[in-house]
Amino acid sequence: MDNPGPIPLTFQGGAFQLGSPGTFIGDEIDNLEGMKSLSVGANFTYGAGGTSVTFYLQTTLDQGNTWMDITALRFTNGSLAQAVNLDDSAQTTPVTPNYLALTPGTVQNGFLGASLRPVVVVAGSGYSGNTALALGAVAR
Amino acid sequence: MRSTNPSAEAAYRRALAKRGRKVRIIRLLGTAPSITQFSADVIGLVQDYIDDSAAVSRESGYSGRGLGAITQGKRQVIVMSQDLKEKHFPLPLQKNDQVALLDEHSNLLETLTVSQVDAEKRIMAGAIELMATGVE
Repeated sequence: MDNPGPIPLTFQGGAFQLGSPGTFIGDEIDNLEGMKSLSVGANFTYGAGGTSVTFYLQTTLDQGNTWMDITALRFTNGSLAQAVNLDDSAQTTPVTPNYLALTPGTVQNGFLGASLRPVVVVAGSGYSGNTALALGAVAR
Repeated sequence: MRSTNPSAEAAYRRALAKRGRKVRIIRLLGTAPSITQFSADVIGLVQDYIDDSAAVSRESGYSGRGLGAITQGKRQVIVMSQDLKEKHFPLPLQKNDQVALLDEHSNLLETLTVSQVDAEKRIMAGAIELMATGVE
């Protein structure tokens, strides 16, 4: 693939802020043509407050016109680390792409487009007390 | 319209091949105490630089005497934007990003904090100029 290695999952060049509810669309990562597999990790450090935060990683198959979820990881009120691995295995049965609707804790494997983007949805009340969500991925 | 001149970019590449050294560009993510970082190792041109002592005088009309002394640890760093893009480093570079000077074995020698970024001055060559200060 073009440019294998670590990729940042950032929001406006920095970390996602969890202090207020909302949907936060992160920065696109481009030039990932030929990606064969992708390892994604999320480390949630809980401080105080909050209800839930869901991290979606999305890819696009039409150069950014539409995006689909490929993994969804949810965190609530406790520190937790989660990781998944996706690859380009064949998906011969058609799937209906999800947009911020993939069931948390699941992946939509087999779809690794040339671009990725992280989206974080903070539901309920915002978090406080140095709550942080560290995201990272490695593309191969 | 092209934003880079291939000849200029090639000239910078030759300079980096001749005088460049390994540097690690670091973006700190989050706020204390939960800080993570993303970094990219590239080749950069690192050199001391002298403040423009006449800048204050030009702008204000008053003498700039006594200003512009070299501050220990201040460096000018030039890196190629394409190198950072290939490492997926989140551009543009920002103030308070860090530049770690590495030896040939990628061991850390010194960490500088970016105080100024100019991505336009050398855009014809696809280069980014940074001013970075050693951590004191």
